[in-house]
Amino acid sequence: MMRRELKSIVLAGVLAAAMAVFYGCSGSNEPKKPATQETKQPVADKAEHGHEAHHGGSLNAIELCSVGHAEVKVEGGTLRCWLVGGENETDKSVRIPDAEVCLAVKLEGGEEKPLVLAAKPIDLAGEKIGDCSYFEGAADWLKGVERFSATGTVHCKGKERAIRIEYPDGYDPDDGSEAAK
Amino acid sequence: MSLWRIILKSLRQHWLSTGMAIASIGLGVALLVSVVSLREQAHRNFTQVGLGVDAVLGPKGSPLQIVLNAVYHLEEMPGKIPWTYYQKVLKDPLVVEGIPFCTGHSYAGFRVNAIDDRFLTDFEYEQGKHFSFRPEDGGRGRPFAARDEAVAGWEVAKELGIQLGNSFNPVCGVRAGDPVHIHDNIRFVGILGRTGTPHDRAIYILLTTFYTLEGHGADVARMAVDDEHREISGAYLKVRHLPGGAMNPGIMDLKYNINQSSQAQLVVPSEVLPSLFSIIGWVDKTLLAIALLVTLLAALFLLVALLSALRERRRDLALMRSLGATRRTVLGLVLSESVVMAVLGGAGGLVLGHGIVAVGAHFIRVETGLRFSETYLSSADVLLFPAIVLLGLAVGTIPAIQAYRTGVLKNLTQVS
Repeated sequence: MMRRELKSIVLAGVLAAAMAVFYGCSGSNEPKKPATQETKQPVADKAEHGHEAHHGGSLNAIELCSVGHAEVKVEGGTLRCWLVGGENETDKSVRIPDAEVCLAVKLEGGEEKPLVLAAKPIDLAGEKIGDCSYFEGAADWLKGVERFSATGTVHCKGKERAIRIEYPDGYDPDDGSEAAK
Repeated sequence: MSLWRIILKSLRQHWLSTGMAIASIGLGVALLVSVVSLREQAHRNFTQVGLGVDAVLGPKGSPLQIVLNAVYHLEEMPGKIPWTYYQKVLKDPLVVEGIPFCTGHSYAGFRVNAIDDRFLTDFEYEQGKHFSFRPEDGGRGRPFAARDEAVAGWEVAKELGIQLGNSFNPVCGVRAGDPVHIHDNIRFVGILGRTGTPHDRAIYILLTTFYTLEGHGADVARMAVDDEHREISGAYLKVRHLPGGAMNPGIMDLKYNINQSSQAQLVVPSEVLPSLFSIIGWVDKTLLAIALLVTLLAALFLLVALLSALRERRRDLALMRSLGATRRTVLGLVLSESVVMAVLGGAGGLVLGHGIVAVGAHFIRVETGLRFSETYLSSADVLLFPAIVLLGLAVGTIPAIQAYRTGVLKNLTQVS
């Protein structure tokens, strides 16, 4: 009986010592994001298929993941859309010649609404209408909308391409999820 | 005789092996404490202190290079940015203030940075702390006001023995052998009080001084008067903060917008510097592994010392048992000895470890201007004593079990 007790004490001691020493040495050296109050958590998951949504929106592939993405975020009654690069280049903008992007938005109840996104050139990036990567569209019915699907087309990389937006989950044709089918 | 007196007597009896075991534990602990402390302080210095800079507007190129040059006065800036673009960034509602600078000059191994005069008066190198020229802070003189005036950081003044009124000729470059502006005599009119930051390790001149240095030629001289033509190496940016003190999340959008341009990029030091650790991470992992190995070896040394002492003391233990000591008492005695030796080694190692940090901190400050402190309490310090007690218990377990099993009759008979 006593031997068994002793063995368990010994085992616990060894384990505790090892844990204490290793924990003491591990320190916290995780890379830190800048200390912003809100850590830019996206509406959907921040990284989808390894792509990062740099504005905290949801990433939707433009036809294919390799072509580019439409990063979409709804703020109040405004839908903001950044056209960004394909694959892992979601931190780089993709400029398109379109002055506006027309979307057919399907709300949760099945109701369809049209929404026109107008080009809003990023001045600091030297953009202008006709060579722009950022679009915005406002509508009262967008207020409080948490989930919707939308389709439309953009002229991107030399041809007209279909875009499909699944908000807030994002759309990736390589994804096997229901949303992608 | 009390348990403690027995322990002390036993330790004294085997003073050589005891001393060596304590010393080896001390060395292992010292190495562990110093490595963890320096590692944590390095992380703190590079990722949390921030040195008063929310973001750096810099040219296209390596973000790490930009931060090292702008904030730590190391490396070289990968290019220049147009003044007009900087002015455009200043108009963003998120930007509170900008302090433009030009780097690329040096004197006696220290960087000579041309900077807006608001740097010396308005810039906060830490929250709420401005540069001081007051003698009680270690400073002297006043900020620069004219083309031929300069201000030296505290460390520069100390190392070069700079006095107010001394003059120097800046070197056009940061490498040995770069040409000297021999016709430009610049006079020190101020020495900054000590800040304990890399800013102590630079000399500051006015932006107009930089553009009008004689060797720079007419093209650069034109930058002093022509906004359209002017270029800068970069600018420290202060952005709006939220009521709690955190940086406004809009910084991410601003960074994205600027980074899409072909003229500049926005670098957030607290975001970039961790990548430095991923580059040199293997160094501190190797040091930690060595420290752990040394501690492990020290633990083995303690085990051997305890086992050999036990071999010599079998008869003593048998006698104790015959005089009424229980098996548990004997077990506790050996475990206590082990713990006492480990704690003594740990205490010595703690002192030695902080001594190593003190020496290391001095050299790091001299070389980089970064502030390290020997009094910093690292996670190793906090966990040291619980860990060392557990180590002592773990190491003492085998000899304690042997002592526990010591047969009274056998050991008394064997020796007598």
